[in-house]
Amino acid sequence: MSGQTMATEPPLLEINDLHVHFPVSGALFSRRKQALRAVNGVSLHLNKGECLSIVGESGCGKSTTALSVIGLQAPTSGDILFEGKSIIGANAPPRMERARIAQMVFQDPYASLNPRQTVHRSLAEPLRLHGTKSRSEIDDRVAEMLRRVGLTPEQATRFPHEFSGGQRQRIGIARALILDPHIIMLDEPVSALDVSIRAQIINLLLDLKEQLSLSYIMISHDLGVVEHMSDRVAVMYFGQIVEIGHWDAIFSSPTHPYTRKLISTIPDPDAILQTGVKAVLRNAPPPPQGYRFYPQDITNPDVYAAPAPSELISISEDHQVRCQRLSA
Amino acid sequence: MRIQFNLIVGGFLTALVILAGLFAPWLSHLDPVLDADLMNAELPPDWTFWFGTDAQGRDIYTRVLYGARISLTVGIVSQLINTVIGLALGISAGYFGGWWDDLVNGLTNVMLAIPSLIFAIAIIAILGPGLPSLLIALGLTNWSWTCRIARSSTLSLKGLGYVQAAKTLGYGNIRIMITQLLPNMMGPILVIGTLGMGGAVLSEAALSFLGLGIRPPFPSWGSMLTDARELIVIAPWAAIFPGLAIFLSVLGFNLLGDGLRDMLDPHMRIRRA
Repeated sequence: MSGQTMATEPPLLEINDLHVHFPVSGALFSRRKQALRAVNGVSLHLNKGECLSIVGESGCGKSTTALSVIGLQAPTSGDILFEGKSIIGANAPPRMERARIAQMVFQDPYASLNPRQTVHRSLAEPLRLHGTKSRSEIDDRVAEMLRRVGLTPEQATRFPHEFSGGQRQRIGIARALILDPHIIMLDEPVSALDVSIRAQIINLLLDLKEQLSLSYIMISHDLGVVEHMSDRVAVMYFGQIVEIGHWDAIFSSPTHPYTRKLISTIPDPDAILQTGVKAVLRNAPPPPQGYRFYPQDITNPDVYAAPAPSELISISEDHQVRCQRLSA
Repeated sequence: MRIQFNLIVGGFLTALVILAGLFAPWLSHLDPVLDADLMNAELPPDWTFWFGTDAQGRDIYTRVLYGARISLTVGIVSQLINTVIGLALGISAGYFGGWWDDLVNGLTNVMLAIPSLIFAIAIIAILGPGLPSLLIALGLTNWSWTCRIARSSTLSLKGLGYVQAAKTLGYGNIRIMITQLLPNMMGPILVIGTLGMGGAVLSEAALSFLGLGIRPPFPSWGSMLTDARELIVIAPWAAIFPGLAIFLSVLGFNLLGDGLRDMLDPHMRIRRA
């Protein structure tokens, strides 16, 4: 799937050595200043038309990374490039231009729509703000967007509380798409929904990606959804990417101990039926010569300290894992 | 049931005060100031003078009607000033945070620490008594609660998905505050505003009672109470009717505030439909 893009084409989005540190005031009268290191040097790229998933536990920095991309979180250092041009800091494009680059679908459909605005107003206001003046043009665009996400244009006159969770998430998707952005950030797009509704929303997202040639960055800890939707997967742990690669490589040959721990949590019905063992951990390939895995201790990170030096090394085509060089 | 009760009784009382003020000249053919006849002084209520007369022989019914104009003006205008100040400070403090938030918080705490009536008296002492200075004094001294509610509402709303979405869609700060934050805090602000309206009517009465508000001979419920003070034993009606007017109008504002809050809540709307 990711092979559709040619190797010569520059990536649609590029994150270079992104750091986000939050200053934390110490105890009363303490002079010591600390910074919580939410994101520690994340680098990744997103190709046009692909879905890149970022997985990891709560607090690993995946949401902070996403917020930096849509401009809601100013990074401490590092750069984010869209089509080769920086979109953060002093060189950032103006607000309106930036809004057309990336939009977000939020996790909680009950908090993501303004309860005082009709669906029409929620969708029409951004268009008006971005210079569409003609009323009929706006109405047409809103109607088209609602049809695309599986709602009817007649429902536009209603308020959010008149819709179900799944319908609200469809409206949230319509709002993210209304300005025709290139990249959609999906922050746990189905985790707040009924299991029966999830498949519908996932399929809708996949259809829209094809129809509108969108690119997704999905934040999730639901590995079932990730396996179904992603072209590439990045595994984050303690503000760093510990493993990144094609979805098949991550799910069939997870290499880093943390990735292996994650993958082993997926219930495998066949294995349970055949062996009675709930989680099956495949044998880990040894780390490449001269390296060991970093971090080794995956239980208790110190979020205030800088992580030990380590590097992402390629272990096969489009599959990298974070290791620490052993001193010779 | 309760919602309907608050709204109907509160609306009825408020409407009564508004109509009394608006149609005072049609509801009484007498003049509240000029029609004084010492021959008729201190008459108890009868068919000619429904609420009796005061020491100058003026019809109390007429004066209560015209007094509604003062009370309504003071209640509405001073609360509008308070609400605008409180919303502007509270929303911007919660939204921007930082030193501006600290400054507004400090100011709010100072305002809450000073008894507002004393502060109002100080402002009137500078500006001199009269309706305009009364409006300014009461409009500048009661915004602290509105400000606090607006700030805390902003803090809880600004992390929500729709506010973040508005930011990513390119909305400016002012637009986010007006279209996304403000409408979603109108319930509590409305309640605080109407409660404050009752409070402002009371403050006006208190200040006029002290001689700092509406100057005699113009009729305000508070100044009527002052006039009635010396007659409280021989002509109690001179105090009872303006007092009753204050009580009913404040009660009306409060019930209306509660009723409106419940009605404007969109979740209530669907439940009734």
